[in-house]
Amino acid sequence: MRRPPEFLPESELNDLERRVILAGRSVRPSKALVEEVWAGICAVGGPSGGQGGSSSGSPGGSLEPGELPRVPSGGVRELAGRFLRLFGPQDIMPLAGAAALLATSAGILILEESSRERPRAAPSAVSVMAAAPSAPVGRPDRAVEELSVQTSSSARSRAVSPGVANDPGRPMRLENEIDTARRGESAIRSNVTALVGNPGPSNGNNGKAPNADRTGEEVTTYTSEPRDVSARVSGAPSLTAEDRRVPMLVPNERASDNAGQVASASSALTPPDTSPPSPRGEIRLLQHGRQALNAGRASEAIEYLQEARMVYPSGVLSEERDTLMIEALELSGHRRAALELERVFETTYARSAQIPHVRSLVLGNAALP
Amino acid sequence: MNFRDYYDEHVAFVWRTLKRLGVPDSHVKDAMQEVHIVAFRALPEFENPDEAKTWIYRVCFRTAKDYRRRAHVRREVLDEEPVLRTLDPGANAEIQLQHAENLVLLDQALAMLEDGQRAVYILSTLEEMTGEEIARALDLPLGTVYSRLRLARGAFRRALTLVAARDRSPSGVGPT
Repeated sequence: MRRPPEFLPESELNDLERRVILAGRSVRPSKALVEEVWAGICAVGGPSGGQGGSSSGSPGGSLEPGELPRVPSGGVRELAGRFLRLFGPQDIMPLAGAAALLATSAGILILEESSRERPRAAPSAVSVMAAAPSAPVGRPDRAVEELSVQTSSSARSRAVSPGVANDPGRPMRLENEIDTARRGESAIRSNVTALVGNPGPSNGNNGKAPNADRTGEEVTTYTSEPRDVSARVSGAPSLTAEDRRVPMLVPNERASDNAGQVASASSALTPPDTSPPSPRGEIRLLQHGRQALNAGRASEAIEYLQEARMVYPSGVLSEERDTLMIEALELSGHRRAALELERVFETTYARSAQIPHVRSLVLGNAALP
Repeated sequence: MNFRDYYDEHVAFVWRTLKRLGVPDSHVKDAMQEVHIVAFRALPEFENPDEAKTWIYRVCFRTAKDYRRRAHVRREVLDEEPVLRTLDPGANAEIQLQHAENLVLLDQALAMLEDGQRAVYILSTLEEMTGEEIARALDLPLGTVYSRLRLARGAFRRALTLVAARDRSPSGVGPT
């Protein structure tokens, strides 16, 4: 190891280096600063009287051996005093209020994010007890009709009001439900399964919905429009296994069934969130739907897409969602439903570039121009 | 040696070290006070004053580290102790200005060095400590100190040339 010269001879330094280094060596604090710091040390409990304590004797003052030196710091006090002189208490209070508001907002954001990450922790207050066997319509011949009705009503609501949450006709309880829906995708997914049923015959359940014979199961309800269907629901026949094979795209009908309970449950919630839902959830649902569709799991894709339809009825990706839904319906064998939805699609999105693709899905390549 | 003598001897070293280790000017007074209080308690344990100096540097290093860590939660305040105020008011104005410019160049060039090289360079070139003292102060092997010192000298020369040219200083002609 070659030992370098510890102190470079000045001959090896250029002029600039020499001047700069000499300046650096000679710089000293001002006398005022030196005395100020000394006075601060004495005030803290250092050398008594500012005349210096003995280095070999007791240090004097209040510092005990082993005690960590506290820094009462005249400088800090001075800064605090200067701050008070500049702003005064009347200015500090609003600042404190703003800080508290910021902290509260941050807490709300954190809670919201955590609830999104753990959707199963959605508040149980929004869930109502639904009577599954008395669920309405579900026969195959009515499924297409309901699909049409629902799609039309959805398109109508979209035409009247671009944002569901801003629809003045929506009762507050419905907005609460939408808000809750955004927070709990997994909870929704399980309930969508209950509402839609498993459309494929390969569900290992003989075409029977998972909760077909369960009563009193918790179902989170979401509706896009308030409709009075109580009379219809009360007289509706019980679902058969055959009925439940067909995906029902109108779960809001059942939601209205429990309107009173929903209203009472929602009243305990926080005020509704009127901001438009984040598209991230919609994108995620559509991604899941497309992945399921590509993997050949049409029924699972329908569940995802139906969930997206309920949570984001006027979502920015509604066109893509309906395209995927048509494809999924076609793949799952529900040709009539796919045809009906394709017709509605052409009406709703008359200028869509997807129309040839959608048409080819239900009519085959012969439909292509 | 009483504590006042110790204080007078080391206060400039502590002040320079804290500033060069990145303590903001507005907090240098507080940091100096902390360092000297710690030193006041521990000074009787040191028989050799040179040993005390390396130990004080380590206290300065830890204190400066704490201040840098806490700096992001503090409100920036105006600099109360600019370099110019450290100058002798009775000296020639042109000399003072030149001195201040040199100090600014020095700080800017030092800021461009890596932390390890900067510490070694400061202790060696500016504080004129020996290799053994630096090794003790920084708790490094002696070979590492020399290695860093060699690298730091080259890096400092390049950095100084760069900042001098950037600042368009009359003296910034760089090395020949």
